[in-house]
Amino acid sequence: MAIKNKLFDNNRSVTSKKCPLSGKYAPIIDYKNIDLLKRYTTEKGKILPSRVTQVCTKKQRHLALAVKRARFLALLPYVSN
Amino acid sequence: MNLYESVFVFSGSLTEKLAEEKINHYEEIIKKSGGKTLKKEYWGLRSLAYKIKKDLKGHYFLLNFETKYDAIKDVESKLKIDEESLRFLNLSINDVTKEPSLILKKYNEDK
Repeated sequence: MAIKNKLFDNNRSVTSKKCPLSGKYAPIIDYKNIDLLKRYTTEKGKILPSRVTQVCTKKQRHLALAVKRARFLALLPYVSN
Repeated sequence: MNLYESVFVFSGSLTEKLAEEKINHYEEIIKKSGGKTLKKEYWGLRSLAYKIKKDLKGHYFLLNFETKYDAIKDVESKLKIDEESLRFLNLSINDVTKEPSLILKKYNEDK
């Protein structure tokens, strides 16, 4: 029982980080903000999962929509080599 | 009357003047139906992220309108037939900022 509790505590200390797109000074998520969108996509053009980037669920939804709009306008690639 | 934000992409084979004429033509349609343009931006001849209709470059325009939905619908149906239009995106928005968009800022810096 004592071991189990220790494991639990260790895991907890690793996680817990704030969303980089929330808060007072957060950048605007928009399909015209290409530099921001590029930071949240892989080299190939895939959207990075929120578990990697620590973006909260709400902002991740906005981000995904913005990336898709930018892709449609050929501002971002669907796939790049 | 609603606020709209539109991005139009015209073929890169057009000259800047011809592209400008085209955008004015579509602006006129909205003006005739009683709408007005609040903001107009030209992002220049940008290279596309992928080929569209065998084109590698396109003229980008951003416009903010205050019009009825019918006028936007009319423009959309005309853009669909237009062979020189590569892409268009019309969004209804809540408010218009007078500041230039981030892409235009970057375009001006590069100049």
